[in-house]
Amino acid sequence: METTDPKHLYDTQQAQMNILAFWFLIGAEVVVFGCLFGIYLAVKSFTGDGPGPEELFKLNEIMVSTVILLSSSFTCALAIYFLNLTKKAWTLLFFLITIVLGLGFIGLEIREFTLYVGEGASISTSAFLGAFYMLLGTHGVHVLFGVTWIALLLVQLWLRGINQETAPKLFIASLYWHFIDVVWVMIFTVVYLIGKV
Amino acid sequence: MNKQKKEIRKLSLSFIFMILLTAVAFILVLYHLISPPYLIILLIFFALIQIFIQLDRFMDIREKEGTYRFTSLIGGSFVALLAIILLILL
Repeated sequence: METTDPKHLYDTQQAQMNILAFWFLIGAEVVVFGCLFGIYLAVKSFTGDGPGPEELFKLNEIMVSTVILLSSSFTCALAIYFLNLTKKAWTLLFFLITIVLGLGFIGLEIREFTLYVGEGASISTSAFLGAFYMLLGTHGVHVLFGVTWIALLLVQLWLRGINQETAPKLFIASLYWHFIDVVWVMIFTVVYLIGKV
Repeated sequence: MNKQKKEIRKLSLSFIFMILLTAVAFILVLYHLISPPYLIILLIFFALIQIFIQLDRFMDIREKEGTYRFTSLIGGSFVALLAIILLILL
């Protein structure tokens, strides 16, 4: 992709190696989530005495979560756009919006899980629910980690400004954030939408 | 300046397109507009388009050493797919 940026921000050998190494980590993360999806698909029909996907999921609320997470991915991309232009204030602003949206997503997920447990659908109710909470929980923890990571990097950005040290770190955190969104697109499709078909 | 505007437009259009795909998928499922087997294929197709947009537009996968990035991602996806197939067949 051609960007408008001064690319020198990522030109150091260290930055290039770090970005590459992070892509290897993403490759490994694909395996982790792939296995969790595999388990979910394998035990999806084992609902025991508990509810199945059709009765349990409330698509309207999940749609809100999805729009929130997609928007956070967009604001994160905008933050990187301003980072590349070395505009500190705008970078901070858009990363802050990303964090707020991320927290909103986590809040909605906690609310969703609390509702389900209230309806008697807990992690030990059935194999389906066990796999569901494992998959969604792992993703949720990733979102929480992403929010914390970006928040810490923003403190560094605030103190040290945009330079060859801080910019690659934020770029890598943005890759992580987009990856989380990619996983959510799969969860939304495979778990929620196809669960309702 | 023109180049910057173009970049912003590109990011915004990608975002709007992803929201649209999500909305269409949501409506198709909500109102059962298509019969199940075709609907599932269509939903997965929509998801794959969205993933492609994320990788291409937001994650710059085609940059300099893109080959390594693709290798890493395709390697991971291959192992993941094997795991999914094996787990379902078990």
